[in-house]
Amino acid sequence: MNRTAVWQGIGAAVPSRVVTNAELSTMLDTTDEWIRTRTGIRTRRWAEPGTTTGDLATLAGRRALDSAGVDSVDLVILATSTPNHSMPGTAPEVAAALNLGNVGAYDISAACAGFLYAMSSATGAIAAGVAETVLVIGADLWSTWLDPEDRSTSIIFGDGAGAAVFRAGERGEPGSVLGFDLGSDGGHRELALVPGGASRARAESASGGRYMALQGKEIFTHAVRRMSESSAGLLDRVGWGPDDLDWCVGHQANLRILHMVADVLGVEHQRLLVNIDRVGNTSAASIPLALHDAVASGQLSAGDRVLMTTFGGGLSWGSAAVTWPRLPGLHPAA
Amino acid sequence: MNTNAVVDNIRTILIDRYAVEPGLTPQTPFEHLDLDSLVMLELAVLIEKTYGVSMTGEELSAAGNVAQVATLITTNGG
Repeated sequence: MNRTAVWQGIGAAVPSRVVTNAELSTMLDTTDEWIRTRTGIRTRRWAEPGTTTGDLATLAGRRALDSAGVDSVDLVILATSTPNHSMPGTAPEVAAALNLGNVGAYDISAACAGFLYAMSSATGAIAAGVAETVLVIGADLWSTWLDPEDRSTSIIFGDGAGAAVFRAGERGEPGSVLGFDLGSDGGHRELALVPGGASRARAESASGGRYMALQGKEIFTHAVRRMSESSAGLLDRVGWGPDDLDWCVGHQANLRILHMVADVLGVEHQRLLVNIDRVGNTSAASIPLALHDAVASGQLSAGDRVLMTTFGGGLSWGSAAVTWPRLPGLHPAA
Repeated sequence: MNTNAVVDNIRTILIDRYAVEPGLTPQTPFEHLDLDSLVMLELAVLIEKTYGVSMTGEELSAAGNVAQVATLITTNGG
């Protein structure tokens, strides 16, 4: 089957407020040097009070539609773990804010892996003839879900949104999506989760636990293993060797994780697309934000072979292979 | 597998990748090397890739020095 999704536009949005390591070191027992050497992060963006995940998603979505040169789509899929409400999903609200009419719109919850899960859903919808064009958004606003006294999470997460428009097309044309590898391991869900606020806490009449809890060291090992195995399996299926890749964009959770994944795969570090130093871990927005920044800086060119790989709470992970499209000029993320 | 070759390889990783002083001996305790908390996790990944031997960062830390880690690797067959 030659019909597949083709990448047609990209957009991004981050809040204007820059939070430096120096600022965090005035509130937490940490230093700029500690954060930089352990994570690679120098700054992240946190939204001002009054901003929602839906707001950032809408802004990124508008910019992706502009980039694609379209003002309508058949479907909107929003990957987020910080929705505006537990119910309903945030995607219908975003679709309405974008004046997209009564199109189908739904959320996907796969934590930091969310964008690739949403992208695979979009590709499936296009391949099955359910949709001709799909707006996929990854957006998370973790800053209000972070315990201000928890160093392990506060230094890492930033707010942001990234979006892409996919259209129906043929395998082989620039921008075509060539394949996915998805996986999960719910037995390790405790390694990254928000304990309260949903069904389990209600079932157990538990209180509290409204902040993200992260077991960073354990996550590190799982992330390296899953992203490298998932990537290797997908590369094998697509028929690309490590040397065939022009770029590898991994989930921007920790620069040292990205370097380890590259080392295991045999990919040179200079072929990694990296923006974690500027935005931190933006969860579901991570992959499209990194791609957007790479387009803006001129790193990505039409026809480039791009491997995307991501990992997050769930545990959930996934990889995607794409040939990069020709895209017009972009709106800056901030 | 030659234990001396494993020792040399791990010494090289620590010196080249983590800027450990070249005076590092197989018996130098890891705790004297000023390594951060992620190094043993990374070393475990590199060992698994090179030798096919799966070990945790805690096991590497507990081994305590390059010589003991090399012994673990060769004992486990990799």
